[in-house]
Formats: sequence, C-alpha cells, structure tokens
Amino acid sequence: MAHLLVSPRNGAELTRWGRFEEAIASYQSELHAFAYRILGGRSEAEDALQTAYLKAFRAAADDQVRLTRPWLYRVVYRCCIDELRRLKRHNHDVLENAAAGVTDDEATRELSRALSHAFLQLPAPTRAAVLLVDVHGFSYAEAAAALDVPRGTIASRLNHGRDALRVALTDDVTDWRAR
Amino acid sequence: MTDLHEHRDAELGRMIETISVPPLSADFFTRTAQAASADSPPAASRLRRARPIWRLVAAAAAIAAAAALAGGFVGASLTHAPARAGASQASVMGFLPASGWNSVVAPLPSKLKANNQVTWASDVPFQGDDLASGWPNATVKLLPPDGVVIFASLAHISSPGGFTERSAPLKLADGNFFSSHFDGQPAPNVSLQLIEAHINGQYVLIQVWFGRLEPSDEQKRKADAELARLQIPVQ
Repeated sequence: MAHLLVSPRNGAELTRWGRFEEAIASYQSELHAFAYRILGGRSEAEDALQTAYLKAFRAAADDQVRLTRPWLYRVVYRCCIDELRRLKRHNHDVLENAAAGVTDDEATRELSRALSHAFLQLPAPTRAAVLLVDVHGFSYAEAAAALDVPRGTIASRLNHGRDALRVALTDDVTDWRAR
Repeated sequence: MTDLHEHRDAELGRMIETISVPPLSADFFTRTAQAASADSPPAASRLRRARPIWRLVAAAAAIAAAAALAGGFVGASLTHAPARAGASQASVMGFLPASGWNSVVAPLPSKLKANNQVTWASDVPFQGDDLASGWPNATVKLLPPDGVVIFASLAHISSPGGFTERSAPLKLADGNFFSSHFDGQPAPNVSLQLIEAHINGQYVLIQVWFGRLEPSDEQKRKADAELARLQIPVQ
C-alpha cells in the first residue's frame, strides 16, 4: 500500500501495524464500500472504519482472533451501528450525503440516485443484510454470523429490503432491468 | 454454505454497486496508524476534530518512522556540513554542530530517500529510545522547562501548493505558535512553534518544541540560533 506508517512508539509497534495492514489489504476496499453504503457519508464511514480497524488491530495483536473476512465485516458493521447511534444522538442526518452513480449515462445516473435514496431509507440492519448477500456474495449463514443474528433473520431482512427497493424503484427499474 | 432456500439477487447487487463510493482520505491510514501506535489511542471523534496541526505533526512523524525502519539515526551532527550556515551547499539537511546542542540526521529507506529528509536537534539529552525509534517522542514529552527540541523534515514537491516561498535560514517568526490544548500536544507543559515553507522546490516543515507554554526570550533566541544552523540543501 502506498501510504506511510507513522509515529510508532517503537519498531515492533510499526511492524505489528504493517502486518495488520497487509492482512486486511485485500478486504480494505470492500469494507470501505460496505461502511459507506451503510452510513451514506464519507467522513462517517471513515470514522467507523477507523474505529473498526483499531479494534481489529488490538484484537489481532493480542492473538484473540484471526482476521477473517466475516469477522472483519462483523467489526465494521458494529462500528457503523455505533456511528449511527452517535449521529442520531446529535440529530445529524447523514443519509442525505450519499453520492450517486459514476456512470456518464444520464438514465443510469438517475436510477442510481433513486436507488441510493431508496436504499438509504431502509433500516441499517436491512441494508447490511442486502449488502452482504446481494453485493458482497455472503451466504445467509455467513451474513448471519457477521451481523450476529439468526439465519432466519437474514432471510427476513432480505425479503423486506428487496421488496422495499422493488416498490421504490419499480418505475425506474422497469426500463433498466428486464423483469 | 448456500442451500436451496437461499437466493442471491445479483441484479439488485449490481444496481446497488452503482452507488459510488468516494475514495478514502489520503491521510486515512496515517491517522489510523497514529492512533494505533498511541499509548492511549485517541477516540475517532478526536481525530475527526483534529485541526491541521495534527496532520502536520503526523506527516513529519511518518517520515521519521520510516527512518526508524531503515535502521535508526546517525548520531551526533552532520558529515556534510556546508561552509556557510543556512546557505545550502549541503546535500543533506541537518544542523551544523554547536555547543550545547545534540543533533541527528535520519537515514531514510531508499523509497523515501529521493524525496524526503529528516533531522532534529535538542539542547537536552535525548531520552528513551528516541534514537532508535526515529522520532523524538520521549525527549519532547519529558522536555524540562528550559528545553528546546527542533524537528525538521523536507520533502521535494512538484508545486508550491500554497506554502509561502521563503529562503534559509528560517526563523521562529516565520511560523505559528501553539501554546496549549492543541491536538498532538505531547505534554501539558509543552508548546510548539510550527513553521511551514517552500524553499527551492522543497516543502520544509519545522516543529520547535518548548518545555513551557510561554517560552522565554532566551529559549526563543537559542531556537532561532539553532534554526540558523539548519542546512537546507538546494534541490
């Protein structure tokens, strides 16, 4: 990774952090996307991700855990929920910040905007279930483990989330998605 | 793990992926690594509120830390002392030897060496494992009231980037003073003069740490005298 490792108290600390970064490098991008799509704001996602990485780093340094993909998602998800609670306490509505699509195609961009809006209206646990299964390819059992809920809860949240998105997007989606 | 009752709506997943994700801030990992290495890691909220000074301190620390990785500092004064103080015949940034001051030049890893240099000086003995760690953390933290530590880093940059164009030698008056309650303050009694400048195509960051919140005139005079002995190479 291109960034520098900074200000360790000693070389051992630096080495531990370097090892940690290497361990999460292949998941970093998807964890960031996951946090951003849960929270809908850039700085909020970074705050949650930073807290999650610090927790993961300390847990790994103490040999408490193996840095597996599902476990990392679990930590990031919990930190996102904490961040949402903090924002709610301060009456800060971050969900308006979500960015729309990257494509130059106007129709797709419009759809992306509508989807972004609809998606962020879902409860965070529902968003997380949809993200894990439909975007990140988790099985129901893996998603259940990551979110610390029964498998049936994942199925229920998926049903709810997908239905809500279909209803919200029916008009827009019809043109884009053959159903 | 997938069973017959599971269904992945890949189309919906692709649609959700059109919600673009902005890149992480350039200093995200710098801040996170800084927090990870702290004795009592600051909460994320503190880092979020951090004023620019925190980032500057962290940026300088980044280079110093990399120096530590390269194998530690070369102790006590320069081997490339130029003929004229502050006048930049040197190829390496560092302080000219002076009575009552200790100084070090950091060898950097090859990846950084081409574009970065680090040096620091202190009028008190170096503390702890600072020479090995590459950052005068303990020396600054334990700075006695009359003590002064000067940390300087240099980076070659392609454009001035809004920094004031200056010429050597730099002086305390070229920077800004932080007396207390600033992010990155190493100890309650320690204040900081922060100097940023663009000199001959190089970004120079200098941190002058004082052992008291209101530095005495004598401390300021000593600091300015040492700054005048700082050699900043011509690119």
